[in-house]
Amino acid sequence: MGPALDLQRVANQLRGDVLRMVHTAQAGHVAGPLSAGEIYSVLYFGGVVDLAQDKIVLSCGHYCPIMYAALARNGNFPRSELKTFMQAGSRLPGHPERGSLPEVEVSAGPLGQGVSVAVGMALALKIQYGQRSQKTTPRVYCVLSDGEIQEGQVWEAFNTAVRRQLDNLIFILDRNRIQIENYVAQVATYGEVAGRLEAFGLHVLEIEGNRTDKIMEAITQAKEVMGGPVMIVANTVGGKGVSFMENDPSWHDKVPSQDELTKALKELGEKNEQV
Amino acid sequence: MSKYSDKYLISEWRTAPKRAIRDGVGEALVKIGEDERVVVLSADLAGSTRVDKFAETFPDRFFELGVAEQNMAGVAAGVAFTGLIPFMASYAAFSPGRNWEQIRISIALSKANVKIIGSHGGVATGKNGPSHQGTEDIALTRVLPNMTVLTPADATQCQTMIEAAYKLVGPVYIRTARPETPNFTKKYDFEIGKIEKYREGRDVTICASGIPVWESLMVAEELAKEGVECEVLNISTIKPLDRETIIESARKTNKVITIEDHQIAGGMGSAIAELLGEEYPVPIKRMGITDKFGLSGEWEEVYKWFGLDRVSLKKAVVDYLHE
Repeated sequence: MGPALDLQRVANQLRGDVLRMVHTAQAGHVAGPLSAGEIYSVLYFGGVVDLAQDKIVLSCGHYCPIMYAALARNGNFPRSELKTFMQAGSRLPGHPERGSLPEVEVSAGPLGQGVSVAVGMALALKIQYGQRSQKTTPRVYCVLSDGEIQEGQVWEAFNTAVRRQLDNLIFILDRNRIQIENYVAQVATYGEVAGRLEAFGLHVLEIEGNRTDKIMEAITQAKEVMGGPVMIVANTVGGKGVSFMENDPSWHDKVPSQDELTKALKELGEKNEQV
Repeated sequence: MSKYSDKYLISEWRTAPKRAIRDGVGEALVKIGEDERVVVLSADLAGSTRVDKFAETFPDRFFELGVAEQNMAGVAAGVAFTGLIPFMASYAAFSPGRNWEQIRISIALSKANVKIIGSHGGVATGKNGPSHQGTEDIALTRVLPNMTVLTPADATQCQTMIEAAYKLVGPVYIRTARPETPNFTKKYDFEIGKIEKYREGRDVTICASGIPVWESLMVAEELAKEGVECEVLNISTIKPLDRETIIESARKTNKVITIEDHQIAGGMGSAIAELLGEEYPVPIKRMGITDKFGLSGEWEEVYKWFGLDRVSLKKAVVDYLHE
């Protein structure tokens, strides 16, 4: 079993946790967190991110179940706590709140905000690390979604990231093509996303976003880019991993029934158990 | 003994030389900028917010982010999360006007150690008209949990307030103003949450903030000649309110009038009314902008239009006392 295969397994374990959490809470988002399974598997378990000093920012806050699942699997807090997702007083609120866990870097939910915060972090880290080489300056990884880039703030943030040559900043755009109301292309016409991002001056790498090997490769490549921020456009499938959830906007934030949960966990190769 | 505070007022306060409140910003930032953690962010208004002095002195820690106030609020939060102390500056009409939700989530909910300088507060902004006159900024910021809200009465107080904000860990909003107005206070260590009593009186308490503070003192002086003794409080910290000082004064005068260059809905006067309504109910009259947008014009003319000039204030106090 190669490392890429292990990461794929982890991605499905994280997906299983997402579905269990949402089912237990009877609320939360499904399709986005599932589409980002491989992204979170690589960020936390791929060994390409220096978890001791780099920052991982989740800007599309509704993806938080997958972040919580990754943090729990990484040993940052007990996995049993996942069942408190969205409960009053829980450290796992329905959208991320900075400081609820030490690893939750930004409060997110209103889309676009985390992108600017990530830019501010990267900027400040460059100030503080000053003359030290790019390789030792902590990096900031920022996960955002394709619905999210409808927010104008995101493009304001890209301007700053490019103008300030933030080569310690790596964006990962989960391009799953769905949002609450419909397919992204139905809600807002983008044309070529990668082309637009490139036109803003970002160094764009477009990849198959549900393949851990491709994500590993892209991050490794992104770390070598000097002089400006990198944007990894990860083409993913909304609801990835569960056949009846895939590419269906109605699963954006639908809670699976007990039957649906059982079927989904089976497809993911996960045990049929609660968190 | 003088009824006017020696501690807070310069002796020639009546004829004090004029300076814009916003002028205090640059000097204070240059002073605290000796601390390498201090960073200043601008949204294309460095000159008129007066942060340009910091930019000249510490160019490596000044960042012009362009006309993008929403992004500036987020960037400021991110900068703060790494342990630096960012000051972000724009006009109050745009910040917190345009970027209120970013301030709400990225800064206030996150307890980000960000200092927000909102320049051009109030209709005193003058000729640029209502779009550029921040007349709701106090309401917008004081409703946010974790946020401290400050309004200096002159340039000197603006300096010490910025120094105090720098020392406080947590989000702070500081409202400044454009025109040149009397720089009438003494420099002292401003304490957040502790307001200043500028004049002792027994008949009515005038709670003022910003430019109207000096005018209130002048009104008090004129009324003293007519036998009316006004107590004048500078509500320099609007949040958290100095409950003790305000209630003590209300207890003495049993009549309170509030004066501010801001909508009367949600502003400093509302904060005072909320406090006294719950804890020591006395009759209150609020002066300010009464549910209207501002007006383009020379600021002193605009003040007359909205009844914020000295003649209007004096008449309002007299009418109120005779009600």
